[in-house]
Order: sequence, then C-alpha cells, then structure tokens
Amino acid sequence: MTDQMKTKIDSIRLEAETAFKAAENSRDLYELKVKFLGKTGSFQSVMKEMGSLPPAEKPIAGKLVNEAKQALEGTYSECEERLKARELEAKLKSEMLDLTLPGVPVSRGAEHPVSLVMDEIAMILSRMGYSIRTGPVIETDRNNFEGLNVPKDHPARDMQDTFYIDEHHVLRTQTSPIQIRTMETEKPPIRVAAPGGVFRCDADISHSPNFHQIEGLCIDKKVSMADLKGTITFFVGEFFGRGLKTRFRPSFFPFTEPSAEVDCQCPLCKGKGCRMCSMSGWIEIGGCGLVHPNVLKFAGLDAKEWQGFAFGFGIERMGIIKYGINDIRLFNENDVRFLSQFSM
Amino acid sequence: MIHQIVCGAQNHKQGDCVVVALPGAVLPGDFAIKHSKIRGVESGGMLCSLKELGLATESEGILILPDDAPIGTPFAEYKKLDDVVFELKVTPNRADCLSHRGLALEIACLLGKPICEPESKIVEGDFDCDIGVAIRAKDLGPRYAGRMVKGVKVGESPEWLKRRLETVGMKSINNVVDVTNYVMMELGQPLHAFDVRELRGRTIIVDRAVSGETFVTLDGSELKLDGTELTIRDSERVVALAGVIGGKNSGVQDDTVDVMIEAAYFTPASVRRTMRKFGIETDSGYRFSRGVNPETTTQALDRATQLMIEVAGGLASRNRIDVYPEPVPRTEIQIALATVEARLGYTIEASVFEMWMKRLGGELRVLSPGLYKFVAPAHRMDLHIDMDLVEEFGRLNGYDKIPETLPVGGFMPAAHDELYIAEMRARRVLKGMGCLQALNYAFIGDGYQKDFIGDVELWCDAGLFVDGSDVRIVNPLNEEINVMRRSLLPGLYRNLLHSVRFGSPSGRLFEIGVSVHAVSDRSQAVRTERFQGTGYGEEKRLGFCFWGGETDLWGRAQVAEPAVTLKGVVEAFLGTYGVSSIDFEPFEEGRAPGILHPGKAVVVRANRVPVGFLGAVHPSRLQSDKVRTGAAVGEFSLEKILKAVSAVRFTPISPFPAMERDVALVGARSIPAGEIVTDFVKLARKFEADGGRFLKSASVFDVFEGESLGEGKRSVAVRMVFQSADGTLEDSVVNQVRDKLVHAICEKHGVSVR
Repeated sequence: MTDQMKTKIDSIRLEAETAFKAAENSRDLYELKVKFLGKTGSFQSVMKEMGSLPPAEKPIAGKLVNEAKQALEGTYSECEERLKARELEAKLKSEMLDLTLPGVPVSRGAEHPVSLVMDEIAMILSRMGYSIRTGPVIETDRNNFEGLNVPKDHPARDMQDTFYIDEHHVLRTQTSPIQIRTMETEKPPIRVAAPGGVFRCDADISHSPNFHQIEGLCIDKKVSMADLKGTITFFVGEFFGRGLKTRFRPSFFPFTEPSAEVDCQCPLCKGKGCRMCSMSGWIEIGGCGLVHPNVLKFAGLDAKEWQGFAFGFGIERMGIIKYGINDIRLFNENDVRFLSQFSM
Repeated sequence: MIHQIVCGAQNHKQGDCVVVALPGAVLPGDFAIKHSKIRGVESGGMLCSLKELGLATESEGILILPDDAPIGTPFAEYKKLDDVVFELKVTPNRADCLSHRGLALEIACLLGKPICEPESKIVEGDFDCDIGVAIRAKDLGPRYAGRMVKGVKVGESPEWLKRRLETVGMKSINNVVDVTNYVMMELGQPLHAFDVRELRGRTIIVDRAVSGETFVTLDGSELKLDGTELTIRDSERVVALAGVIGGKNSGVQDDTVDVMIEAAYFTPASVRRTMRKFGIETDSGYRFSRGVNPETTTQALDRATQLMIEVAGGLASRNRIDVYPEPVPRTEIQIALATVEARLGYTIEASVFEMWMKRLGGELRVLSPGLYKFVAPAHRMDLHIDMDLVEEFGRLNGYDKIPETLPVGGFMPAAHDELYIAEMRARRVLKGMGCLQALNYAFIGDGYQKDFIGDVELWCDAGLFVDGSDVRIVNPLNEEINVMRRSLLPGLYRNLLHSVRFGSPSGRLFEIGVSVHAVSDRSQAVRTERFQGTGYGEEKRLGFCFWGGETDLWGRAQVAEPAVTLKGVVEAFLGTYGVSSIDFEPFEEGRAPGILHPGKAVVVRANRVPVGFLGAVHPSRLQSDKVRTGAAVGEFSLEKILKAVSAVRFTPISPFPAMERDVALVGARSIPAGEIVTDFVKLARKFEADGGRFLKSASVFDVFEGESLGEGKRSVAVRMVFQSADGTLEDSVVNQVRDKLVHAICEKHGVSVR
C-alpha cells in the first residue's frame, strides 16, 4: 500500500517539477504552485488518501509527502528566482530612458556685469575698511560742482557735458557728490566707497550717456600720494591679478591736487603689449589725487588738520578690460545671449 | 625709369607734370596702391587728384602741377606738407599750453633750456595812433592795448601763412585776419582787428553792455544784450563782444585800408558767461575763458603789427596804446619742503626742489631753511596754493618716484549702506532663481513712457507711485531719452523685443533701479525719502519681464505660462525675505494697467501693504509687436518690500505625524482661489479653540474645469495639513475641524463640496 502511495507521490512530484521548470513567467509558476502545493492542490488529495492507511504506515507516508513538498518548495524557489531575474531584466530593458535628451531646464540666472564689477570692487575696498555709500542720481549743482571746486563759469565744467533738470539740479556727472554728502554728515577719519550710475551728454560709439563709476575716499590726518598709489596697486592686484604694476600720469581734476591718471599693466598680456592695450603694455583704468583743500573746506573740514585722497574707476571700462566685452552698447541692450554669459 | 600707368581722367595732356602714387603708397582712407590690370593692361600706380590726396573734399580730374615742378621730388616735400603735427589734449587748468610759445615754455622747463622769443621789428610811420582807449569796467577788462596800422592792402595771405594756419586746423580768411589768428596760435593772445573807418568817435570804450541793446556778430547773428556782458564800444555802439567775437559793423573788409589791432586781457569768468549765454564758441573765447597771460598783451600786439606790415603792407603808428590801470599781481605762494614731502610721501633734497621751482620760471625766495616764497610766473595762472606746487614738483620730478605705501591712521570698520547690501542680496537671490539682471538707462522717451504707463491711478493702487508728470531733462541728447523713468517696465519690455528679435525665444529678466519723481503733495506721501535736499523723489524698484518657456522640455509643456512662472518667482523671492503675509489680489473691477491682460493681473501685498503688481502682457500689445510667445511683467517697490521683511525666528517643529485632508470645492470660476485658501487660514484662526490651531497649511493641489460641472464653474481641490506639537491627532478631531472649516468656506463663498 505504501509502495502504491510512494509511486503516486513520486509521480506528482515529477509532474510538478517538470511543470515548474517549464513555467514561462512568475505568475504561471505561482499558479502551478497553488495547483500542486495549495490547499486544494494535488498533495492535499494524497493526504486525504493517507487517512485510509494503516496507522503504522501513516508516519511513513506522511514523511514521504513532506519530503516531496519540501523538495518542490526548493525547486519552486529556484525557478522563481530565475524567472524574476529574467523578468526584471526584461522590465529594465523596456524602461530605458534616453538620458542623452536634455534635462528639465533649470535656468541659470546671472547678475549684470556692471553689478558684478561694482560689487567686486566695493568688496575689495571693504576689506581695506571702506564703507559703501550711495547718493541720488538727481543732484544739486552744489554737490555735483560747487562743492567739488567747480564753481559756475569754471572751464572745468566743459570736461563733463551735463544733463540739466532745472537751474539748480543736474543728473550727477560723477559719483563724487557722494563724497560731499559723506564729509558733511560723518566725522573723519572717513573711508568710503561710492558706487553708482552717472550721466554725461557726450554719447558716441564708445561713450554711453548713462554709465557707472565707483570711487574711494579716504580722509585722515596724514595721507600721501604714496598711500594712494599703494592703495590702488593693492586694489589692481586683487581685481585684475596679483603682481600687475601701476603707474601715475599727471592729469587735472578740479577736486584733487595733485591729480593723476592711473594706468595698470595690461591684465591680458601682463604688460608685454597686445591689441587691447594698443601694444603699450599699459591700460588706463581711472583717475585719482589728493583731495583739494577747497573741497575739504567746503565740506566743513579743517584742511590743516585733515587731508585725503580719492580715486575713481569707470565700471563699464573695468568690465570691458576684465571680461573682454567689445562694445559699450551691449551693456544696455540686455540681450539674453549677453547677460547669460555672466552666470558665474 | 618709365612706369606704365592706366588713368581714367581726361584733363591731362602729354608733357604735363602730375602727382603719381606708386605701388606701396597708401593714400588717405587707407587706400593702398598696388600693381594691377585695368581692362587687361598692366598698371603700376595711380595719377592722383586733389581729392585722392586728401587735399580737397571734391576735385575734378587729376592734379596738374606747374611745368616748373621738379620731377621726381616727393609731392609732400614740393608742397611743403611734410610737417609733423602733434595732437595734444590740454586739460582746462593749463591754458598756458594753448599756444606754441606756451608749449615751448613747458618743454623748456622740462629740459632746463631757454626759449627763443619771436622777434618784432616794427616799421613805424610818422603818425600817432589817434584813437584812445577808456576802460570803464576794469573788473572784467583789466588791460586793453592797441595800435594802428595805416595803408594795408587786404588780400590773400602768402602760402606759408595759409599753410601754417591749415596745419593747426584754421581756415585762411585774408592776410590781416590771418595775422591775428597766427599770433594767437603762436603766443596764446587772442587779437582783433577793427576797420578804423568804421569806428565812430576817437575813443574805444571797454564797458558793460547797455541792457536791451542789440549786437550783430561777424557771422551775422543778432544778439540781445542784457547789460552783464563786457563789450568793446565806439562812441555810439558795440563793436565787439569782448574776447568772444567781433561785430559785423567794424570788421576788416576787402577794401579796408587802416586797421586798429586790439590786444587785451579780459577776465575768464566774464568771457565764459557771455559765450555760454549765446552759445558762441570761438578760439578767442576758448582762450580767454581759460585764462590768457595778462603780460603777453603788448608782446603779441608788437608781433602782430610787425607781421601785418610784412604780409599786408602799411605802416604802424609811432605809439601804441596800453591802458592797464591796475596790473594783475603775480601770485605769491608760501611753501614748506616738509609739506611737499608729506603729501608726496618721500624725502626730497632741497636742491632738487629748488631746481624745479626755478625751472618753472617763477621767483623762489628762501624764507628759512625748508621754507620758501614762490612768485608764480605770469603765464602760470593755475598756480595759487602750496598744493599746486606739490603737484608741479611731483610731476616734474616724476610721478614714478612716488613709492607705494598704505595709509596708517584711524582705521574705521566698514559699515555699508544698508540698501546697497539689500539690493546686492536681492540680485543674488533672483540670480539663484534663474533670472538675468538687466540694466537700462534711468531716462527714457516721454511718449513711450506715457503710453506704457497708461492710467496712473491703477499703479498707485498697486503701491507704485508713478506721478502724472515726467521729470524732464532740459538738454536731452535726443527725444528717445528726454525724461527720467517712472517705471522699469518700459525699458524691460524693450529688452524683451530686442532679445526675441535676435533669437531668444524665452527669457527671465529682472532689473533693480531707481524711478524718479517730481515733488508734489501726493508724492510726498507716497515716495520714500532717502536723500535730502534735491527736491526730487527716487525709489528703488524691482522689475520683471518673463517670456516664452512654456514648452521648454523636448517640445512638451513643462512650465506654466510666464505670468504663473513669474508669480512663483515673486512668491519665492518674498518668501526668502521672511515676509509673513503675502497676498495676490486682482485689481478692483477687473481693471489693470494698460500693458496687462485685464484678466491676468494681480496686486501684490506684503503684510497687507500693496508693494507692486504682476500679470500677463496684454495680447494686443504682443501681437502688434510680433511677439509669438506669452509674456509677463511685474514691478515692485523694493524699498516697500524691505520694510515688510522680518528677521528669521526659529519656530519649533512638531515631532508628531501630520494629517492631510483634501476637499474639492465647486463654484463660479470668477471666485479667486487665492481668497478661498487665505480664508481657510483666517477661519482656522477664528476656530482656534475648536482645533483650528492644528491647521498648518491649506494649498491648492488641483483645479478642474469641465462640462460635467456646468458652465462657468470650476472645482478647486484644497489640501489641508493638520499637526499638533503635543501629540498625534485623533481622526475624529481632525475631521471635525475640517467639516467646520469647509462648511464656513462654502457659506462664505457660495461654493459646494464636489
């Protein structure tokens, strides 16, 4: 009787093993598992038949069934693992994403080169103890000219073609009126950096009627042209690259005495001579000088006790040198192709 | 050597002397001459016309030279055109360098050598100058000298005189006038020549104009004088505007025989005022307004007298008139060597300092060791104070001798202008959100701006003061930029048009800059006053202009229309400033500034104060400007936004789970979803004791419109998030609050749960 039972168990086991191995996907395999090993599966009917066996044979038969079921569970796991792996592989294959296509666009923003240059200069000066100060674009004639040693009917007014708003107000032609505002409201010693937009009505291909400047003012008890030169050389090194030399050339500004124009070695060729510096190795970057005693007096400072120096740079010009921008008009067209180049 | 040259001109014949440019020559306009073939014939050069040589603006045919022209001589040499011209830019303080003699003095100083003065040998006649001079305004005209030359023959100037004037950019007029100009260029002293016939009475008077009288200039313009101008007059009328321009009534004519030469010193400010008032620019006025050496007057007069007789004939009066009641004193400056050393920053040998001061041409007296008195030379009218001498010494000794040091002294820690730092931060925040910073002029065209702004009231409602009238520029460069901007948007919108035209189908621009306003009662109330004393209001604004980008991902819709993108950026921007309450509300009565789509515009409030607006650009404007994508603009008062900023304060976060409840509400499309969401929060506050305090947020997560809802209706799905800091919330508590809120919302807005 057990032999008969054994044969039956073996045949189910064989049938199941064959079926498991032949299954094509994990779902079919699972159905087969239910068919053979489930609550209403093939082994369940064998178990039912076992009830009619003599008691002595029952454990033997039971053991046989359990062995067969265990073996089948093992076979199932193997097949399932194999099928699942195959299925995952197929799934991954079908899911391929072409990551050579562009990603979700995240636009890179950018600050305007004028702002970049202005901030960078302001922050270099800040490290030397200069505080940023600003002023209005519509200035009084007093702050823009008279206080800066340019009285009415002075030929220096010809140096800057001025936009007038009314008899007593102009669009500031320089950031220097901020010097007057600062000296009149703050106590020396003073170190300020004054950035801002300025206006001149002499626009042509290389001049904009509305451009930007930044200037530094240092008022103290003892300052000299040497201190001014050292300050500018430090600034040039930080802004254009360390090791570049600077030089002063005599010049004239009504609000400084002595006055000088500042050249630095061309940052592009390091002074060897190139197109940008017209083969001279030097490039003009701004003007400077010791504050004229008349300016100090006007602002209420005792010119015997206090002295000062001031220096100024054109922001657009610095940008042209630093970034190689080749046309002043680009600064105000605000073309996306231009602006997006400064997203650093 | 024979050259074969093909020439197209017709005006030459065999044996003519001509000007030839051979291969290698470069003619004006960078025109290089090369070997070439003209109609198959070899041509090795070009026969030149006056125009091709740059000697005339128009000319017919090639230039035929006289038969005696020496063949083979370079043309420039033959025509004596091989002169070297230096172009100098003279700063306004160095009027002394506006002449050849002045420059010679400057070079003499640098080289330590004397100059050669031009000689003046005058051929005198046996008559006296019978015209006297009376100075009645010695404050404006301290010195007046003159001499009469009788019997001149007005005509063409000799070649050398014409050429020299041309070299310095002056046109030859006639021999008499040319001499006055020549001496002005040579010695820096402007001169004038009167026709003696035309002078009425026997006295030249230097006096202010009579208010209301008229004067006709040499070139025929009629000026009305107000009495402040210094004039040169005869007994009856004005004959010259002193130092500026001569009169038509008394100038040298072709048939002038007797001439009165004027050499005078007029004060700079007076001449400058007159020039500016009438807008007259002359070489004479240019020099007087910058300062003429009062001590060259008679030297120049003598030189001009001599030259005039040389080129125009005639005889000079025996005497010259020179009225100079109060000679202009030379400036005396006290200077300490220690000052020079302290200001320049290096030690200086007294002998070196003394050498340069002497070379300047002044007088140097030693008061005590290291202390000097310097008497400035007459031609250096720019030297007034010791600092002027510090500069003179510094530059003459060489600016390269100045060492490099750093200032020592009262160090001040940097404390920056707060608005600059805030603006810098705003720029960086917006850059991080993918926006590009634009920078436009602070002025714009009045017509364009007016059209763009439209109804001022709507801007004011949104917290942007734009005023009704423009701040005008008195002397604009052109009408495109004749007023100050009241808004950033006209400029930004123009940037959009430019970028779209040049191939940027999408963009996100922002700008931070000032808007400018005239003062009025209203502007006083609205504008922010940072800078005292100008009487004009300036406000820092933040403007945006977004366009395109709706289908940026492989042609698939990726982001919403620009107005929605812009709203997202504005929300995030305000969020980074910790503005606690941000509201977006449509303009009243469905209106909006004319540039905006009236149905796609909102006023933005920060802490309930209107700070600006944003919205989609009106489709008609886009259509007429041929913009094919959507576009949005927004403008804000940066200063008002900054006032709404609150400092970061940490809020404790709950360690217990959050619970979400969703509800879809159906109602009329016209009900703003923003109001519904805001009301959830407001009502939660009202029901605080009933669990309203657990509502952490309410937000829209879906909007649906469809026929199934009925016409004009839509469904807005809102997600509420509840959380307690004290424990996990019970379902029943959350559901109760939700029901209460939803019921109240439905009642208030007339919506129903879907």
